[in-house]
Amino acid sequence: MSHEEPENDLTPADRELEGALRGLRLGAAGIDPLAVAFAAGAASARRSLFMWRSAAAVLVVALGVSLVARTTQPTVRDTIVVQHQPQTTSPNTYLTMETRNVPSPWRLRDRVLDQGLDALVVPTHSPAAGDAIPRASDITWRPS
Amino acid sequence: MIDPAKLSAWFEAHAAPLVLYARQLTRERAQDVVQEAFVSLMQEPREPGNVKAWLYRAVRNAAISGMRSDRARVRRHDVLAETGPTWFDPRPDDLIDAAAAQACLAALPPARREVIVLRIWSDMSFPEIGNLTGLPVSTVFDHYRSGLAAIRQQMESSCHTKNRKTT
Repeated sequence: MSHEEPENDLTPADRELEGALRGLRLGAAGIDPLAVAFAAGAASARRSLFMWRSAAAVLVVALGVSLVARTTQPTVRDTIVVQHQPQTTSPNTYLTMETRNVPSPWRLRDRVLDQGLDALVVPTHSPAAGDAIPRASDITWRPS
Repeated sequence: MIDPAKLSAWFEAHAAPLVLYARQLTRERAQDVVQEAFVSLMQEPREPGNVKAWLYRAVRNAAISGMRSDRARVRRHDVLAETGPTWFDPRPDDLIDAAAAQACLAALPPARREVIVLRIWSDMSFPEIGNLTGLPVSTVFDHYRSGLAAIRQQMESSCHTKNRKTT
């Protein structure tokens, strides 16, 4: 039996019953189309609101993580790295500032207090002999 | 989002048959399921190619997924089949008694009832019903013909019973 046109296989009694049933009027759907439209709008708004809330939540979490990371990070302090270099043969490495005719401010202050303003006179030396060979009186040796 | 004017037209055309169809699958949540289907349709970014098929599939899927919770209330369903909402509005010029038709339909096995409702009140072709239900067209037609035969037999027997009572 072919079902290409199954309707043709119905008996007249089937067709009569089919027509009678088809003539019945369906009851009301009982659904308000406005309620459907409202529900659709509300669902759409809810979805949009959820999207914004999610974005805000992600930003808050990122901010929190950033703050926590900052507070737990060890504070960076200035450190002085002392590198011991092999001693050079130049004697100038043992010279203090005063050997270059630049007395330290504290030492100069002490001198002024002891000797008065005459202590401010800086010993001069000739440019030719100056830097190369300091005078013995200008050299202060430090214990090594 | 889909144009509300189109939705109104679809609602006018399909809401009542969809509710009747949904009642065959889930009697308690029929209206909710249909309403959810229309809400989902409105939220679709693009209009489906076949809106009618889309709506029926949405209703069927939602009703079947809710069927598990309904199974716990099967006995209550049986009571509702008699006292629940009427499926048809009776009119004087009806060729068949609306209440009797509802009772006969409700007594059918679910698969046959589904096919008959889709064919008669949703005006679907047998291949369309096959696509929706996942059944071969030949099986759909067999369900339809045997369903009609069962309804006719039931109505004849109820008429005989009524006649015997009146005589």
